[in-house]
Amino acid sequence: MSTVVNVYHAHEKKIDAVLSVILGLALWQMIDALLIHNPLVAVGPARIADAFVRLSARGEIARHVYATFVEFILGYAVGAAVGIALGVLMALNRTIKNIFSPWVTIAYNAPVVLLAPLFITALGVGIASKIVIVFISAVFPVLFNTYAGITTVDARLVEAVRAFGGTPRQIFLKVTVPSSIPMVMTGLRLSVGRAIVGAIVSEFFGSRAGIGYMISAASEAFRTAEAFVGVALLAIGGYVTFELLKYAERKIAPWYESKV
Amino acid sequence: MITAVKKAPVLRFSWRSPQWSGTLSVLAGIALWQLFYDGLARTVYFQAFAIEHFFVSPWQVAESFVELYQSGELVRNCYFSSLEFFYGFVLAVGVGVPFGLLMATRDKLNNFLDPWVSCIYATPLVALAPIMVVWFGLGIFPTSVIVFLGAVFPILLNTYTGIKSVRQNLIDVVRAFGGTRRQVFLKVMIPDATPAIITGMRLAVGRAVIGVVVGELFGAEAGLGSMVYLYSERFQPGPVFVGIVILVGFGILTFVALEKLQRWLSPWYAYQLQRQVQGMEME
Amino acid sequence: MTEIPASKLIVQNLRKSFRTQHSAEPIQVFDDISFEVRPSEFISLVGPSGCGKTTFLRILDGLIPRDGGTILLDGKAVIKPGPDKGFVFQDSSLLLWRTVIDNVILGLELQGISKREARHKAEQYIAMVGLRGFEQHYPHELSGGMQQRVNLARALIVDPQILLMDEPFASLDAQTREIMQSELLKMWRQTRKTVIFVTHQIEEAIYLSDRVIVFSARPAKIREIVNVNLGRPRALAIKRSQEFLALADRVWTLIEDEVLKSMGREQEGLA
Repeated sequence: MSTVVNVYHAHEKKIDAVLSVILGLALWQMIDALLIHNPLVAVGPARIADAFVRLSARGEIARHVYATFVEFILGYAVGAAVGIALGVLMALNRTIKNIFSPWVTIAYNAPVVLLAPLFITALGVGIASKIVIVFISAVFPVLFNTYAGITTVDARLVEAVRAFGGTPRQIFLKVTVPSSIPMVMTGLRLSVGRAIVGAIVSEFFGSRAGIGYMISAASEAFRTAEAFVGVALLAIGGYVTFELLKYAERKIAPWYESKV
Repeated sequence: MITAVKKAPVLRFSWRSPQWSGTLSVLAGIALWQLFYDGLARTVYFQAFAIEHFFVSPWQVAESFVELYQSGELVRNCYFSSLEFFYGFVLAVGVGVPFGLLMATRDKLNNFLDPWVSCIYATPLVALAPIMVVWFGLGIFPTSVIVFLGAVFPILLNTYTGIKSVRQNLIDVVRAFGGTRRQVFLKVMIPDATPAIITGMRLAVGRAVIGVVVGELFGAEAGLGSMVYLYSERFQPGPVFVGIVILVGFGILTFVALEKLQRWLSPWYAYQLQRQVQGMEME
Repeated sequence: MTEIPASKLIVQNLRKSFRTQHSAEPIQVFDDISFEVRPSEFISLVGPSGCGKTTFLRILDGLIPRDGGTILLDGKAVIKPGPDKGFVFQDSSLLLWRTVIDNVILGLELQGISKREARHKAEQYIAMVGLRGFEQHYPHELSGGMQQRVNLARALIVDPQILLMDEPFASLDAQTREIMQSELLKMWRQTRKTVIFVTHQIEEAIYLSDRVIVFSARPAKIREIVNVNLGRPRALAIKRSQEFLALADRVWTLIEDEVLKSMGREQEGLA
C-alpha cells in the first residue's frame, strides 16, 4: 500500500492532472446526458466525438483544417520574416526607429481584426484576404520583440568583445544575434496566437472554408456539437504549436529560461 | 556618505522627450496619409478599383466622425460597447484574481486546475463567439461573456505568477518573526504581487477589446464592432475608420491609465525591476 | 564565588541532510555538530563555500527543520521561528512598499502590538542605527548600507534573545562594509546581545568575534574553534596588527585545507 503512496507522491502533479481531466470529462458528460435536454445546448464529450466522426467521414475535417492551416502558415511565415527584418532595421537605424516607432506601438496594441471586414470587402472571400489579415496580425509582435531583443543586448558583452578588437560586424553576428534569439522566439510565440485569431475572425467575416467558417456555419445551423468540434480542433492545434515552439526554443537557446 | 535617490516625477514634459517626437511623427504620418489619398484620388486607379469603398483620407474620417456624432449613433454605439467591456472585464478581474491567488497558494487545487487552464489558454477564445450567440442570444450578455473569457486568463495567469515569484526572503522575514501563513499572505504576498496583477490587467485589455468586436459581430444590436461591420458591408469606410480609431484609442488609454495606477500603488516596482536587471536581486 | 553563567545557546549532535532532484542519494549537510555559546558572546561561523553555514543558521532559527539533535535557547528547545531569535538576512529584504519606520515595526506588528505604540518604540532604534530623520523614506531611496541598518533595527526592536546574522554585509562595497562592522560592534556593546554571525570574510569574522568557529567541507563538522583574544573595544586599525594577522593566517590555513580536501574529493568523484 505504501508503495502506491510513494509513486503518487513522486509524480503527484502529473497524476493529479490526468485525474482531473478524466473526472472533468466524465462530469461534463454526465451533466450533458442527464440534465440537458435541449440539443442546442447539449455538447457533452460523447456528442462532440460523434460529430467529429461524422464530419471526418465526409472529409470535412480535412478540408477545413487544411484551409485554415494554409492561411495561417503563409500569413505567419511572411509576417515573421518581415517582422524580423523590420525589427532589425529599426534597431540598427535610429531615424527609422524614430519615425516608425509610435505607429508600431499603436499597431501592436490595436485589435487588428477590426480591419478584417475592410480587407474582405476589398479582396473578396477567397484566401488572399485571410492571408493578409494573418500577416498583419503576426508581423507586429515579431517586429516589436525583435527590436526589443536587439536593443537590450547586455552592453557589457558588447564591450567585452570590443575590448578583444571585434569589429561592429563581428559584434553583431557573434553577440547581438545570439543574445536576441530568446526575445525573437518570444515574439514568434506571441504571434502564433494572434495569427490564429486573425485567421479565425477573418473566416467569420466571410469565407467558404476553414475552421472558423466551420464553427460559424455550424452555429448558424444550430449544430452546436459540430461547432465544438471546431473549437476542440483549435485547442489541440494551439496546444501542439505551443509545445513545438517551446521545444524549438529549448533547442535553439538552451541557456535561456523562459518565464512564460 | 548618505545618498538618496530622487523620486521620478510622474509627469514630465520637454520638447525633446519621446512623447513629443512620437506625437509629431503621428501627426506627420497623418498629413502624409492625406496627401497620399489626394494624390491617389486624381489617378485613374481610383475609379478603376473603386478604392473609395475601402480607403479613406483623414479628412473623410473626421467628417464621418462629426456625422456619426450628430446623428447620435456614435454615442449609442460607444455606450453599448463600453457596457460590454466593463461587465466582461470587471467580472474577469473578479474571477481571475481570486482564482489566481487560490491556485498559487494551494498546490492541490493548482494541480487539478492546471491542465484545464492550459488547455483553454491555448484556444483562441474568439472561436467560441458564434456558440455564445446560439446559447445566449443577441445583446450585451453574450458579448460580455466573450470579453470575460478573453480577459480572465491573462489576469489569472499573471496573478498566479505574481504570487509565485514573491521573493522567498521576504516570506522568510515574516516567518522568522513567527508570523502566521495568513500574515505572510496579507503583508507580503499581496503587496509584492500587486504590480504583476495589474500587468495582467493591462495585458487583458487588448484581448477584451477584441472580444467586444468579435462578440458584436455575431450578436449585437449596437456597438462599435457592429457599427464597423455594418458600414463595411455598405462600402462606407469612413465610419469604419472612426470605429477603429475609437477602439484603438480606448485600448491605449486604458493601458496607460492602468500603468499609472500601477506606478501609484507600487512606486517601488521600477526600482526592483532595475535591480533584477543588474543581477542584484536575489530570487 | 563567581557564578559561571548558564549557556545562552546549546547545540547538540545536530544533523541535516537534503534530498535534491539531481542526486539519487540524500546529501548530508552536516552530521554531528555540537557547541555552546555564552550570553553576550559574539561568535562567527566561517568555512569553505557551500559547506552549509547558511543552512545551519536557518536551522538554528527554526526556519528549516533539522533531522536530528537538539537546540536549546535559554534552556528551551527551539522548534520554530519566533521573535526570541532575531534573524538578519543577507539582502536587506525590506518590504519595499513600506517606509523605514513601518519596516522596523514589522516584528512588533506581527505580534499584535498597535502600530502607534510600535512606531513610538521604533524611533529610538532608528536613532541607534544612525538613521534619525529617515523614518518616512522608502527603501528604494536608501543606499545599501542604510538598508542594512534598517534591517538591523528591525531585528533588534523585538528584543531577541539571540541575533543570527547571515552575511549581512556581503552585498556592500568594501568601504561601507568596514564602517558597518565598526557600527555593529558599537551597537553590540550597547545592547549586549548574543550574536552568531556567518561570513565569508575571515578578517570580518576575527574583527567582530570573541570566538570563530571554522566549519569543515561537506559533510560539515566543526574543524576548530579559534579564540580571539584581542581585547575590546577594537578599532578598525587592529586589522593590521601582528596578532590579528597571525589569527587570520591560522583561520585561513584551516579553510584552505578544507577547500583542497573537498576539491580532491570532487576530483575523485569525477574520475
